[in-house]
Amino acid sequence: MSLKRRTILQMIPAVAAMSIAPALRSQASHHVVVVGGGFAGATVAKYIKMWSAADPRVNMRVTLVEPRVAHVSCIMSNLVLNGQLKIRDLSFDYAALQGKYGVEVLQDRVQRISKDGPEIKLKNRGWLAYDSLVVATGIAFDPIEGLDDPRKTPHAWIAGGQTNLLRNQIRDIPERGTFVMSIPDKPYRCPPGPYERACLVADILQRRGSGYRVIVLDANNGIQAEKETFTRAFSELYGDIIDYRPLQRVVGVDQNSNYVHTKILTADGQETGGEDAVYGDVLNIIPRHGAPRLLVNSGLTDGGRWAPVDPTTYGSSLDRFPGVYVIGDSQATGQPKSGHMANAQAKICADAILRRAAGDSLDSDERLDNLTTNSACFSPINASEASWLTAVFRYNRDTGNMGLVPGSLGEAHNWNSENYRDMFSWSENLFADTFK
Amino acid sequence: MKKLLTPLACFTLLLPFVLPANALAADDPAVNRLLASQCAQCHGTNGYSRNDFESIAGEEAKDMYEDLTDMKGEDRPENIMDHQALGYTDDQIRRIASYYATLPEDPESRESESSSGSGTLSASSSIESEEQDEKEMEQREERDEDDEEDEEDEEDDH
Ligand SMILES: Cc1cc2nc3c(=O)[nH]c(=O)nc-3n(C[C@H](O)[C@H](O)[C@H](O)COP(=O)(O)OP(=O)(O)OC[C@H]3O[C@@H](n4cnc5c(N)ncnc54)[C@H](O)[C@@H]3O)c2cc1C
Repeated sequence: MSLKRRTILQMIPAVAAMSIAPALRSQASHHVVVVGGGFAGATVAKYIKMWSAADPRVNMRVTLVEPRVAHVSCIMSNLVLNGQLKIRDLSFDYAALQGKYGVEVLQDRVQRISKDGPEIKLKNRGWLAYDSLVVATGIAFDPIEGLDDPRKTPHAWIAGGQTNLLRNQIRDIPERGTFVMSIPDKPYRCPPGPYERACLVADILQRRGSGYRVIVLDANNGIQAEKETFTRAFSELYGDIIDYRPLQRVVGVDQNSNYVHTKILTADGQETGGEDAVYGDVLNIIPRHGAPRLLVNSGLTDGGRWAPVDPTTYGSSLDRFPGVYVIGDSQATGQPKSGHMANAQAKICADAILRRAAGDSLDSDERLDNLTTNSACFSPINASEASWLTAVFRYNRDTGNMGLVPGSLGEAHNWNSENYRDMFSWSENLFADTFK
Repeated sequence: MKKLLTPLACFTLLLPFVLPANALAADDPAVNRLLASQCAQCHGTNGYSRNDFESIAGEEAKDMYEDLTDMKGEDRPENIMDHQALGYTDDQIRRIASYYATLPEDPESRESESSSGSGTLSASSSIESEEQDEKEMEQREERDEDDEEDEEDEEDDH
């Protein structure tokens, strides 16, 4: 490693912290760098600062690196498609994290996580040293043959400009037109989200008149979440418009002719050799997800799609990454990829980092027996009614992983307007618990 | 739903909080804090909700314990909380309840909404400025995508 390449000054806090005796620790700061200010990253930054303020033994300095001025929440973003919300309603800046909690926010992009020492490279500021690094960068998409211009065929599965583009395309769809959307192989972010989107688009088009179609190409062997709810909604509310086709994996898109090419799968996901081509006036292809390149290139995914972590801390399972944590959609524990869940994981990670900084035990029976996360998703089914899905996970010492607690998994018996109202209360509190 | 309690019932309900002295004495406060923080996604940071979802800070421990263990007993779980309650052991519920009981019901420290984000369904400004915003957002995202490409291209010389 060449020292010239980085700003020496930036290395000093980490070196100082390491060399100071434990008794003096409260004087030296422990520098936590958080990469990504979405649901996972904003929560961990906030909670480390909030909880450490009450503990005189630790002095935590938290730097959040995020390229955007504000995070656009994917949660509720399907309501941008039907015009009930604007992207600005779902945009959260970092003023509260900075002003209220004392998080230092750098508007920058992390380009590399060093394999050789505790530092990362920022696009505009060079190298930055850390004592603990929390990687919370969400997802990236696999390429799909022919899908070269995302602005022509938006996934809108990371909310923002693409969500507006898709909204406009749906607005401009020709009379009696066809909307084709695809659902990637699991695990993907927000298991009920694509079915929710299919319902909302069907609702928009149904109000416009007859003859519209919504074709849903699902790479999985059936509806992945709220199965009863969506099976019923697809047939009872949208029987004339939604055409749900499981076991169809999108392998190519022709952006000129607007054909989507699929391979037909067997129930266990093997290709049958069968193929299909489906035309749509508007295409919403959601490619398969994986952790972003930053993690893959650094080795944090260990050659896989997601980063393996220890769910008692969210520390990387790989020995070569001491002090590196991965939370939210990028990690591999197999819990649902949701913002509510990313927030839950961030709290366990914050607790672990604080305990390490204070020299407290991380693996007492008491702590391990009480590690829980939970998830909740509200799904609008039309412009005034919603359903929900919820689950609690508990750490299992035998498997070393988080397990679904029996009985805690539930979905709404009905979609209704009360759930629709609750959806706004839930999301308001979740957004605030994360960003404010 | 507040019930009148006979002295005996009171005593029984309080049992979980006074009897397992060993459990209580051993409670690691940070364990209870972490467990309780998992309610905050819906009930607000430290249990201070911003809307009609119930604020749970400062709730009597025995009331909360009773409510949650009752929900666990529902024959046919109906709402989200019935399912959530089933996710926790009675001891975990005791810990969560005892944590929120220590917080003030209405702290002055509770800041008003910060300027961060709108997060509310406020009326939007003019169509033109919206379209301008949307264009800028698309341009920013294009730049970000180019940055992702850079990450791949950089040779690993470090
Ligand atoms: C339509 C839709 C509906 C959904 N509905 C729900 C719901 O009802 N409930 C629910 O719980 N979840 C829902 N989700 C899922 C939820 O949005 C995600 O699971 C959640 O955003 C994951 O959080 P995260 O922090 O891991 O990633 P993100 O929230 O995506 O945040 C990642 C952040 O990292 C930043 N970043 C990326 N790369 C870098 C880099 N190199 N350097 C610095 N920063 C970087 C990004 O700019 C971004 O701000 C929904 C998703 C969609 C698409």
